[in-house]
Amino acid sequence: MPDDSACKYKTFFGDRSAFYVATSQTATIVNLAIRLGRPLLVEGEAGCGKTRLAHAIAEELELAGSPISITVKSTTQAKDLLYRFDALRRLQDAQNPANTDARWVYPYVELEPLGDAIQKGKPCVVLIDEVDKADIDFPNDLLDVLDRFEFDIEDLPRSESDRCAAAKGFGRHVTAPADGVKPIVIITSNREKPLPEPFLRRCLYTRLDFPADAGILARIVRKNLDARLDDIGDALIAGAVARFCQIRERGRDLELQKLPATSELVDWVRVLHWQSRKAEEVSPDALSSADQAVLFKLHQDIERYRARTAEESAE
Amino acid sequence: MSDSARLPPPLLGLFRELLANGVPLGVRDYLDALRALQLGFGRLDLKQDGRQALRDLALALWARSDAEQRLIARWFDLVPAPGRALIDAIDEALARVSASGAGQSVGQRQGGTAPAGGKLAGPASPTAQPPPDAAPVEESCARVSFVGAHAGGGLPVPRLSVEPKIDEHYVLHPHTLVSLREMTVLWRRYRRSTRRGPRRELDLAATIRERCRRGRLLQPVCRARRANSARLLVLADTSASMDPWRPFLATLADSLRLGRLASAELRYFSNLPRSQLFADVDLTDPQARDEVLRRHAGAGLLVLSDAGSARGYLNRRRALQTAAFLAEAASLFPAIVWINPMPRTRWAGTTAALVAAGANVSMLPLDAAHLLRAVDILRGNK
Repeated sequence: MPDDSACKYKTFFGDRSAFYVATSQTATIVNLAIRLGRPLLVEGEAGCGKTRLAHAIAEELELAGSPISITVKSTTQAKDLLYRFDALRRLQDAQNPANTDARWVYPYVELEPLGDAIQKGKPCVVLIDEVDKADIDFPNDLLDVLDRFEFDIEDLPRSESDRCAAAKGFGRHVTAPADGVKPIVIITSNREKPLPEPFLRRCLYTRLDFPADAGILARIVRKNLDARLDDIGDALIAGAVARFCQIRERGRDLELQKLPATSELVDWVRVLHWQSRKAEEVSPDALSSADQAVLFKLHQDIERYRARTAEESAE
Repeated sequence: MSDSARLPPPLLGLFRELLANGVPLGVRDYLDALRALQLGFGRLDLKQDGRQALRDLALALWARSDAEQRLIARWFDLVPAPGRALIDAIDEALARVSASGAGQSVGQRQGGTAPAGGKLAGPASPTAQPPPDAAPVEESCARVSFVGAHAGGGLPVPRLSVEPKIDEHYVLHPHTLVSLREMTVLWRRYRRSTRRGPRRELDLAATIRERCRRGRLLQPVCRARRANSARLLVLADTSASMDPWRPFLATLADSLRLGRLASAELRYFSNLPRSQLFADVDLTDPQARDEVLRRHAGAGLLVLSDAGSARGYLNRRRALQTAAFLAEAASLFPAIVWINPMPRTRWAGTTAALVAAGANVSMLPLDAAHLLRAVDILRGNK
């Protein structure tokens, strides 16, 4: 493992958090992103742990109050991640002649999570979740910020910059303090919309795949359930994982729209445990409706899977 | 330039290979790789796991898509993995050279050894040849390492350790005419911004005016938000002669949804819009043509068809019907653009030439620049 004492972040190993197992490749890329100070773009099918990777990093590196997560919506603008100017409150305050605050803009400017993290310069993880949900201009507007980790508050007049710096600790141009560190920025995407090339170029990229190894799957399930259930048997987990792999394989043959992934597996093992069923009793050919509800997310997927199993049993 | 500012040959060669393949890497990507190596990522000894680490590093730093990942994977499969004996011999030779400067001049005289050394840095690709200014250091390393082979020292010749697997190592780049993103951006340019709908946005100027006139403010003045009111009807030909452009039509259909137009509808026809238009590509869901045209009256009309120019003959009946359709459309649509995917030279002597010569409609070939022009015309800049 690389050692760099100048870096204020510890090394991420991937398996030290209470609930997450990352492959060594993923861990290396995370470390690379941290050391190079680049944002990390994480892609992968739904339910394979993109968002939880950010939580795992925060937990392993012992960053308090992290990750600061921002869930992107279709209406989110890049500015919303950095700061907010409350014009309405200012207007309201302006009604009151006794309130002199409203003469200035700066009392109504607040930093939002990403802006705050940049300005404080303390070690933390910022999670920008589902960046592909935003409008196509959103990633382009973030380019400069993610490149240099500094930005301008455009709503704040230049004349108030010093006054704002004195009162709130940041001026019109927000940048990290001299001895500050860059936040670890994790961006997740489901590839619903293509991201622009310049944006991709500024990020490091990793894709989380569904683990092919049953052993790793079992470890993931165990880690996720240990916190909640302590009397869960290894036999149940191993059996469930084996059957789950068969179901997934069959689902891939059927080209299901949404294949069950790690999060569905964890839920399913929990359901089996609650119903105190044994893994041996479950056959991929005859799933109960509860199993189907946990494993599949689309009605047509359930129908297709059922049709196939009925066909096979008829043969 | 010092050695610490230079990537090791496998990565340097890969960097050039990626650039030659049109991957937009920049100085920053190069510097990042250097920094990562200095930090100890991708350990540099060329043992088997060292290669793996180097490959993982390259993937993490430079790959953003499946195609790029395949390029990098192919590179590492093609670069021959030197045997232990070769590495030892190279190390030894390098040590000797650095001990006495004489060895290098010997190496530089042995020009014939260069091809074998070049293989290590850039296999099978003329584009990956190092540019002249970067050559000296690399060449001296490569030549020195192969001096022994010519002197009869018995150094093994590097060769492919594994046969490249055919299925994975053809790197196919789909060259779309226009990507989905480009199309979407294009539609964003087709805008006519007007204030419509409920009053939701604070009108600051009016509010301040109100405050000044009355001395106090009862409630803020609101106004409707600005929204795009541009409408578009696209009629696409899905006859057999348009088959090569089916993928483009699919991209177009996807992009319309993301384009944020006030209304955008795509209807299909075969050869020319007769009395019926169809809602799907397979022409199974008919709708009356005149009804569709009336519903979209006032919008922009974009027609996508080769107008007979793919087959290259003039059908009198077809030409007349097309002219009649365009005459009717011109009364309903302020701007009509006809995109003909066939090259301009093929239009002559077909219905396409007649349409292009007509006054009501502009016929343009299909490429990014002309699509932009088409949007311009639809916006009213004829």
